[in-house]
Amino acid sequence: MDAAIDIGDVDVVIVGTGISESILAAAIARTGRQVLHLEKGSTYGDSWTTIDLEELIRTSEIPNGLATENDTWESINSERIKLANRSLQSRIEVVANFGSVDDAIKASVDITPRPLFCNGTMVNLLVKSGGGDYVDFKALNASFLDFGDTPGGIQRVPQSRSEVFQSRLISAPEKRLLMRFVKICTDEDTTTDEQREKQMSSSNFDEYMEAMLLNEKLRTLISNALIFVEDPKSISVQHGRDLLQLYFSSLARYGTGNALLLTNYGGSELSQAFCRISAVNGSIYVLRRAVEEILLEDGAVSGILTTAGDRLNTRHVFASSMFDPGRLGEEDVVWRFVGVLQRAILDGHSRTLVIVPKGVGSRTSTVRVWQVDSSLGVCGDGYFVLYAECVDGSGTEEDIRSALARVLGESYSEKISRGIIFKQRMWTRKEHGSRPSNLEWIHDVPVEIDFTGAIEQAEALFRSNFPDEGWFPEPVNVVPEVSESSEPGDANASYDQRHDASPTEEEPVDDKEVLARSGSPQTT
Amino acid sequence: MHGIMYGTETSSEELSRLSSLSELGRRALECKVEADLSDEAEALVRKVVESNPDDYTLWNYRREWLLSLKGEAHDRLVKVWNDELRLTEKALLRHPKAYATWQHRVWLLAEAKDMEIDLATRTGLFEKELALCSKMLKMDARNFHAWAHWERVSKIAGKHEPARVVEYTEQQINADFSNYSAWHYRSVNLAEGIPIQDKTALDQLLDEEVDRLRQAFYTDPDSQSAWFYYRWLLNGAPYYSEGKTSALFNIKDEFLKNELKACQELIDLEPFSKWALLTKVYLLRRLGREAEAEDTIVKLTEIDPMRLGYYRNLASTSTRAV
Amino acid sequence: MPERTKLLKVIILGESGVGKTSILERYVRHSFSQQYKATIGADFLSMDVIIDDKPVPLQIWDTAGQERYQSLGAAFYRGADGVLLVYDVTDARSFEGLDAWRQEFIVSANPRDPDTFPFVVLGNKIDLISRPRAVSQKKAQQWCLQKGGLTHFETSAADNINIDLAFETVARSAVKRGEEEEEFILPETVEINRKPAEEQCNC
Repeated sequence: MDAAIDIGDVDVVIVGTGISESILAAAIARTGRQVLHLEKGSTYGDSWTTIDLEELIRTSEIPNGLATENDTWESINSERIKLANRSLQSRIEVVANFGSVDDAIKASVDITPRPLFCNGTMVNLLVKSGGGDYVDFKALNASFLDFGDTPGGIQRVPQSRSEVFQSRLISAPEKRLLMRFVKICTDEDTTTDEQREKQMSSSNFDEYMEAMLLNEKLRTLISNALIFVEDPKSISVQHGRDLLQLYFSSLARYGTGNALLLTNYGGSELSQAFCRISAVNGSIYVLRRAVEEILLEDGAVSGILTTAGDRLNTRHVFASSMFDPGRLGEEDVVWRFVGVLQRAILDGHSRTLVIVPKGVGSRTSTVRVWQVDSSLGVCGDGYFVLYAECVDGSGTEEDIRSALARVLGESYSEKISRGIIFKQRMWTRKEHGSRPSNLEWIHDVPVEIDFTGAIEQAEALFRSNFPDEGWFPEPVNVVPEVSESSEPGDANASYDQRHDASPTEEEPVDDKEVLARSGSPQTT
Repeated sequence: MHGIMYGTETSSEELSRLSSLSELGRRALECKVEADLSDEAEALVRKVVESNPDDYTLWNYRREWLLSLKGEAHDRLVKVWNDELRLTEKALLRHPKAYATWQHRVWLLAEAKDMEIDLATRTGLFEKELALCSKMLKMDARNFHAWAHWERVSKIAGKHEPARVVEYTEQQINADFSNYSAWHYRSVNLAEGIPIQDKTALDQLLDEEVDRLRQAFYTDPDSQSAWFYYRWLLNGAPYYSEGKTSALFNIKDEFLKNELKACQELIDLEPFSKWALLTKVYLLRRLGREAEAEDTIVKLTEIDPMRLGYYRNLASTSTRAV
Repeated sequence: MPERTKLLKVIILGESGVGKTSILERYVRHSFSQQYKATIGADFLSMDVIIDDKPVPLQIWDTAGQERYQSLGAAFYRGADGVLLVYDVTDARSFEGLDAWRQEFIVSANPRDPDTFPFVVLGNKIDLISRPRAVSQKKAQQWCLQKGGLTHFETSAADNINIDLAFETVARSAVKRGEEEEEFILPETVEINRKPAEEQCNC
């Protein structure tokens, strides 16, 4: 299995296949640089991976070794940086277990599950980069919001024009106020001077909503379930309007009746999509291979040494900051639940999101709970995977438990066929120490809907390290590197993927042809 | 066709497909002119209508061919008829609004009945046609052909099920309350579709209809379909049955006053809503409050000067003409 | 109601250097190169194959070199309707590797009824005379029989032997299997590459 990596020097080594790392790998490979992309685990995705639930539970039972971590001073000297020996299990600490092992329950679950917007940063990057050919999505079917005691518990949130029309949650006059507010926020042309005045004089988005006559119920609904902001006082009017625009442009984009998407087969597919773009552009992929040391020369990175003994020269290393020996133990944590149910939550929709805001009960963080069904290819028919996450870093185990109680009832533990509450450790961006200029750490990004933070990080690293190169430039067609020794008809000649060649017609072959990949595979 | 972008350049493949199609089309027409009902000719015509379902003449050819089979074994006719129905389905998927195809399908069903061809289907023929309508409406909720097809098939099948239509229109309205066809077919079928005997139930029905409309007005006051349906309700929901026009509801002044109040509430929120103001004019006139109606018309001319002529005409006509 | 013909996804699996890309090149471009280069720039290609006078849209996926260190992700296998398993008749190791590739595919793609899944096994490079044959036809056929009667061809991308036949065979079995299934893609999938809804006409 541990075949030596016999590829000579490379331009760039990337360590870890998280979302940011994979996007970066694709972007760099597109510039024609030789990339070696290594992953310690046996699947793609690192903390974004999709894993069998039982395996996740088993893995997290192994002591994670955080207590006996290397000391910074021993790990770094002028010749090398010895990377921290961490892995997926270093990220997870299980604090509660539900149900028992049941062979009938087969579920693939995400460590870091995440819905995304139809018109958000991830979908747009996938379309721009061509990665959209490799990954599919499902729309969420229904969203709910816990209003606490008034107007009475968990209520379906009207999300589109037709749902507003049918909604029993909001009265006819409230509908008018809501729809008018949405129109003003999403259509600049119809804004009157008076409305513009209110926009200018409000110091935050909550004040603005109030000035637009929205009552508390509508403000709660908009901030929690449409723009996904815990406290609308904390954001500017413009930011709130932008988020609402994102929501409604997402709603309109594919006509699914919902603004959010979920990834078929789990989030690891997204990493894999970008890794495939990278591979198609010549990057070398090696799973189950960890980096032991980053080698230095004259204060700069000169190469890497893997745990299998491979030694390669390189000009750049981008590595997940989980491996940074200077970053000890846990930094930030996110509280999560993942489990399998045999009955759909609430009114039985298959793919459901429930927001349990922090104001309700004594929660210190808003908890987002969502359920996916077998249509995503992650569990068997009749089963459902349920996720819960604390939106805020200040969340607690209690927050998760009380949200589960709201959604599943007080006897929630009996309704979970198999599941865990766990603490996910995050190595987020923090200033510390110095590093060689050609070594970059890639950090974990905070909880959000969509992947904006992860994409922005990848783009920022790309632009600062390769200032002359374009970020997934159009057109999407790729010029493969053709070595000097190529003969006409070289096997390396890339091929047109459109249906232009039929087996019965002879076509001239050009080995320098520039048609590696293009948009959607079918003309439907 | 929906969601299909044609490239700016026509590919050579497409070109050869088109040219061979026009060549085929020419030959197919010859078959029609020469009344050539041979197997080869029939296969050729079938191929052409599949790609070009708008062609009336060729569907006519197919009808002649089908009629020529009269007297053949029942089994053979069943097979031919089912194949022909499938052909129209294929054609409709390609072109959901081809009159000629819809008409051909109705003809097939009617003829099958006349010729006593038993097109045994699992769910029954009527249900199958409804499923087709549903599917076509799912692709495009405003495809009026599908609505009309439902009616025609009901007639052929001798099944008059207004209750189902009413229920179906409700689903369609929930999906999109600007769907004019859905409101229209609701109005056509409401009286018979809802088995109402007593006055309380009628009152309740009227309340429900008005409430549904109110949700639509407040969600989007500019959506005209709902306002048209509302006007029809305020007229007592007239319907035509057994040679005369009757009204489903007995609309009283008390009711109109309430509606005027509700209308004013919406105008308070949306002072420039044309449809709300127009409805207010109508309600005021029904209540004999002509002076207030005049004032409202003046307001309308101010906010919507484009239709000045219409409003002037409105001002000069009597109550009933609004 | 008749559905539009579904796009068939066919993937080519096998050890590095057995000639996967050459087989594809031969089929699609009718070309062949003597030189070996690890696959770069190869993604997937779409073309129509004619099965019983009907064009069937075929999408053929290459490994993009990710097989070299056993690092193909599960995503690559997903939704495949047929698999070409390729070995090199002059390289016994590449033949022994087939079992692992087949297993990995079944585990990762999790196809319904894996025993009848359309695998077509290709022993490539039968034109090579400079190296001795390491895998006899009999041995390969035996293995195919053991695995439930997989179709087996010996091929040459260089001399264009059995290449078209291999693709037609895998496509034909995939079509046949597809006909037996009700729905073989996950329902309600959102295709993000399609035109946004608002740009669609209302004709």
